[in-house]
Amino acid sequence: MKEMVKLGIVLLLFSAISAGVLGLTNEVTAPAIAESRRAADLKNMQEVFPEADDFEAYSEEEIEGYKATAPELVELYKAKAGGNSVGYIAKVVTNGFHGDVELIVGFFDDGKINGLRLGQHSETPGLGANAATPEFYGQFSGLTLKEELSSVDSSPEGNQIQGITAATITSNAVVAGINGLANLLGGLK
Amino acid sequence: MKISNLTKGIIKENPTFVQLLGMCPTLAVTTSMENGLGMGLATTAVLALSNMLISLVRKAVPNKIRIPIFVVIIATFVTVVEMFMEAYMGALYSALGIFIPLIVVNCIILARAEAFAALNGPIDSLFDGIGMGLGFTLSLSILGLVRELLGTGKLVLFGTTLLNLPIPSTIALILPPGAFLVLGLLIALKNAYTIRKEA
Repeated sequence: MKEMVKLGIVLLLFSAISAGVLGLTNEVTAPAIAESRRAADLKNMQEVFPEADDFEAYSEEEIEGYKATAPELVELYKAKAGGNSVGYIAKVVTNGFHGDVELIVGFFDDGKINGLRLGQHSETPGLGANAATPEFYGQFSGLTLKEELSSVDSSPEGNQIQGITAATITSNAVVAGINGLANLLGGLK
Repeated sequence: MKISNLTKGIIKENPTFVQLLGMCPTLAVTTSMENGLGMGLATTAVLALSNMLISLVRKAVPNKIRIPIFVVIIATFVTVVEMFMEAYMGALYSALGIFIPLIVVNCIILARAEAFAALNGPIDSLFDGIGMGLGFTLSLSILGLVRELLGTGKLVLFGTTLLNLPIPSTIALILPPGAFLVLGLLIALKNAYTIRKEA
């Protein structure tokens, strides 16, 4: 009994020290991580909407409102060129093979997809992670949100893309994440 | 301090071909040589430092609960490394970051902590970690090389196509069954070499 208590205390000590170290590291690195993620986000936004020169973020309340129709929405921006609105950029989080996959989708008023990039994800290197290559995300440019997108094994036609071989779950997750935006169309201010 | 602690992991006690450790990342990641190399190097860095850390605290760890303590230490350490990398080494993080979640669950790290670092001094443990890591890197790179070359007919490293063979690509080798086939053949090759050397 006495030994058990002693072992428990030792384990508690090690865990407490580890937790402290993690907390401290988080405290130190959080601003730099946020900064590098913001820079990566901005780069992605410029890539999915090269025509735009300014991105106007929607407020959190507005996004909460849109979540009623598009629950996976995280961030929303109005893409502007020379002061005029040219389209929208949405950041959605979809459920991949290894947890969350961030998608950055640029689209026009009529639902045509301008570009897609992947943000943070932890898909398997060599398989699901190939979704972050131009061969995969490039397929989405020019497709539309108006009809349901789907991922097929070979020869995609119409509003279809070719999924990644041996990474069906990731491919379908990306497609599902984008399809989730369809309900936003028309209702966007 | 023995130099054999450094070299034994590379061929004689190679973690992949001899100890068969870390099979999950081995099979999943080696679809290309670049991925094998990346996973190997990220693992080497974590393994060397976690081995040293475990060795430093080994006398304070009661034998009966050493495994949960090692797991806590390793998971903490890997997370700390990941946070620092993302914060201050953006380029390196974008290249190796995707491998880090796989390292936490890599049994090589725990196996070396248990089999070596818990019984030896910090310098020897550091060497053991580096050696085992390099052995892991070597075998993952070879596995990736064979699969990529035969599977796609090409060898691409850091964005440059090094080789482009005029052979039909065997896509099966890139898929999971290909990982098992190539791994099995490479282990057979390694064993044939060892047996011939001993005879």
